[in-house]
Amino acid sequence: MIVAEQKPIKDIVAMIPEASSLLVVGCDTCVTVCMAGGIKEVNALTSVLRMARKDIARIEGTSVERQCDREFLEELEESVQAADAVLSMACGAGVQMLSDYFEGKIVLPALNTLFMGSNEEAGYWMERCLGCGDCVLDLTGGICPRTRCSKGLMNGPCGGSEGGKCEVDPENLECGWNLIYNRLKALNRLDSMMEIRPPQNWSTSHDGGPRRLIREDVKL
Amino acid sequence: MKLLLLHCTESGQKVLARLPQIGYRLPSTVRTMELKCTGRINEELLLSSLEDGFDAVLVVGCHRENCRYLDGNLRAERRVQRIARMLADAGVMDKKVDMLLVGPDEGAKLAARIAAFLAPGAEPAAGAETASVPAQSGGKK
Amino acid sequence: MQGVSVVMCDFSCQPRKKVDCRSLRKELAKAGIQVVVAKKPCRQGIENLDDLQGEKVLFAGCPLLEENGLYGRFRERFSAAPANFLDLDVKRSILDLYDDAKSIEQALSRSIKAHARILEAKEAEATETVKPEAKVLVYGAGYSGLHAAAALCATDVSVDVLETSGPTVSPGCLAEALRNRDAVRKLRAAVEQSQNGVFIPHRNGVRLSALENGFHMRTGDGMEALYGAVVFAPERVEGPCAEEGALNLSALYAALERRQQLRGITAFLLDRGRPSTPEVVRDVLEAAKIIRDAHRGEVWVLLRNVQVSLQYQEELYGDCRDAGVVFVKYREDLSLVDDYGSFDIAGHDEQVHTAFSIHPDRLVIPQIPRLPAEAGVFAAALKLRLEKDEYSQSDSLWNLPNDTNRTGVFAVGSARSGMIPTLIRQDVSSLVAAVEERLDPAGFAVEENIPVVDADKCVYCLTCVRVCPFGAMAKDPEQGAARVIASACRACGICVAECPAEALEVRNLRREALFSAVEALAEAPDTRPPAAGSPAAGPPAAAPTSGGDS
Repeated sequence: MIVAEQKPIKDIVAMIPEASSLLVVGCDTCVTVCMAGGIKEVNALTSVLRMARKDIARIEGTSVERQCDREFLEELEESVQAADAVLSMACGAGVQMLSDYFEGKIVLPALNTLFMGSNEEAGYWMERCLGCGDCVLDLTGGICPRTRCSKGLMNGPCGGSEGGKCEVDPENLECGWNLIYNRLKALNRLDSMMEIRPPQNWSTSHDGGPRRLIREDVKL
Repeated sequence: MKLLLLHCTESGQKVLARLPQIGYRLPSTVRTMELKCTGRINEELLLSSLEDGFDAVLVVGCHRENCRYLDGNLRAERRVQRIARMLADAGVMDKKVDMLLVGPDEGAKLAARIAAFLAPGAEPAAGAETASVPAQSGGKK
Repeated sequence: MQGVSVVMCDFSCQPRKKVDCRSLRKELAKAGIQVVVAKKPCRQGIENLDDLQGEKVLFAGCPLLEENGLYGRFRERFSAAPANFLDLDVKRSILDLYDDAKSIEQALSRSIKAHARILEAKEAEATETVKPEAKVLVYGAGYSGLHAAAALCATDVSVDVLETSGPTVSPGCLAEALRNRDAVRKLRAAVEQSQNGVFIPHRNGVRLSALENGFHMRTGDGMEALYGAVVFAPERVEGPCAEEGALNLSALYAALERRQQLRGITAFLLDRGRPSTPEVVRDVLEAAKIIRDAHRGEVWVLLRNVQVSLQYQEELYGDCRDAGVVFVKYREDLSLVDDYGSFDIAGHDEQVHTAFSIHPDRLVIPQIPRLPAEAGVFAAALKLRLEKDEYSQSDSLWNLPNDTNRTGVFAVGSARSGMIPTLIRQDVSSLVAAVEERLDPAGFAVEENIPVVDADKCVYCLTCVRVCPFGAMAKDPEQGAARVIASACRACGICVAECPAEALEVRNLRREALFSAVEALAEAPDTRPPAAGSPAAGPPAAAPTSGGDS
């Protein structure tokens, strides 16, 4: 799922322009699960902002199921109209949708959207997928060489791999290709590593404008 | 300066009971609320208490390793630190949150921390146990 | 708060802190709370019950009223659900804490309002009783496990013993097992021959899930069973020595058991890298004594710390010295040269300040005893917390003597604490009592205030399942939400605080009730003159004046 993190409170406080009324909007899906923009975080942030920005007469908080679907944004019409500015606690997709839907309103992002990742344990999320559009997990035993290898090599490891660790951060960072090697070995598919592969074709990744997905049997 | 003491049923309630035994009475600006475990506390509760009119919230819980529910006090401690940092970073200087880990017999430590909170303009010092411990009244019962 | 009435003691036993009940009653009436003041209820009971209009009653009194059964009689008379009553210990939480009458009245007023809001929101729920499954699963067929299983079988409890590696013995119990060679075998026979003990080989892993009344286990071989309690009793094992040719303690004891002749020089090397635990030291001393007495070999014991923390350990040291064991307290500059099983050890003895050098025929280096990997896997399957050094109890006092973080799962022996035979035997008797209590056919009561899951709000993120220290939250695939295992829940409220979607509520302290209670405490300005900022204020308002003690 999408993992995001609240911006430093200093930045949020500074980001909000002069206003007499501010609406803080959360999102009940991805950012709730990563504890960055759910109803709890909305309530906490509105409390802090009321104390830190006493110049703003009215600061209210609310939340919708998702900000990346227009039908949920409809529900906000009244409260957004009444506000001078909106602080969205959704991921980047939600902030943009909200901004498009309520053209003419100042919409601000309270979060930094970080990555697509997994909840390894309570309170700990790790990046797993870059969204490169060309998945090679079949070749690497299910371990992604883009996210797990610092260089994104297709034929790793490089000379900086030592003791299973990556030279970028030898204490904390595991060498992705070391992990791939061990995994393929356990699966008895080491022959996969013997093939030399060409470098990744990044044109399927973010490359010239927003990527789109269209299902012609659904969108007529 | 209104202070809310959010305390747990174990060490929290017991250390409060210790206060009159050492001759310490709470000033009327201090109010107490008992919870089963300080682990029940989250950001919302701390912040809404401040918005309700308390100038400071002092969470009182058990020492590490002594929590009856194993890690409630640890969670509360980290939560309180996070909110304290957030308030400071946001430039909110007139509201404070803090947590004190105590054993049931550490009445003097609690009394000193409360006194430090209530003293005008003073920062609660970590080693305040010996600082402003109130004198015991003569003829203890 | 129309539905709440307060029955309040007049606190006439506190002459110096006379509470003005009349004005308090008026003030609270404005907030919609009816107050009935009882005169000396501890002596005279509560008379004017017919005046009570509220459906829910808050008692504002002192512990004496609970002790002399007054609250109990009151509840019986109203035969209402526990959710309709709340006790407020005014003496401890207000009268003792605050000084003058004004502060006390204000605190009383605020506290009554706060608790009335909590009471109003309190929901009636019947207390459940859970009838447990009847069988017990003992993990481990070694020294600890067999003691536990045999003791349980003797009380007619039906026991399944999950066996991984047979009658192993942890370091710490090695000397004892050597002395009573047949003890372990006899224990196993006792279990096998009893009508109610069964051994199950643990080969291909197990899957465990918690139910309301116990645990469901499915082995890799396809066997399924239900248990009311689980006893975690694995033995610890020593790894092999890094130095080729050196023996670990278990290997030495195996040699002693085989009655192998241990002539020549035997050297024990302790405290390398980490201090040896006292029980391991004891086994070393016992072995050293045996080798001197029975085999007449030369024995050196090299250590950093002389440990006497166990009972009779000091005597054992004495006996060893009398028997001619040489003790050396070595310094950091110890050198150990390993030449394919032939060793040269040299260093300095701190006690006598001389250098020493030995060439032992046999070098014994006790390794740190650890739980075997399978035991760790079993523990993980049970969501059993193993703290530092793999003990199932942290330094927390709350889990003594045999409890673990999971209700219904008990620990004994080397997983719980040290590997000391006398303690293990004591442990087993307290274990039997604990298991009997847990398996009582009358059932055990569920905590009154366990959380309630709002399945609509729950986003199934599994945070509560992961953070619950007691493993009391689980997945409910049918609902697509979390569910509470009521019998394991201790109603601490941690899950409620952590849930990102606010989908959990604790019955007695719902979010709105809690927030609104805090609001009530904050309400009303303080009428005492503020001490802050006034130059004549002197010491902070908190410092009490002496005199006037009640």
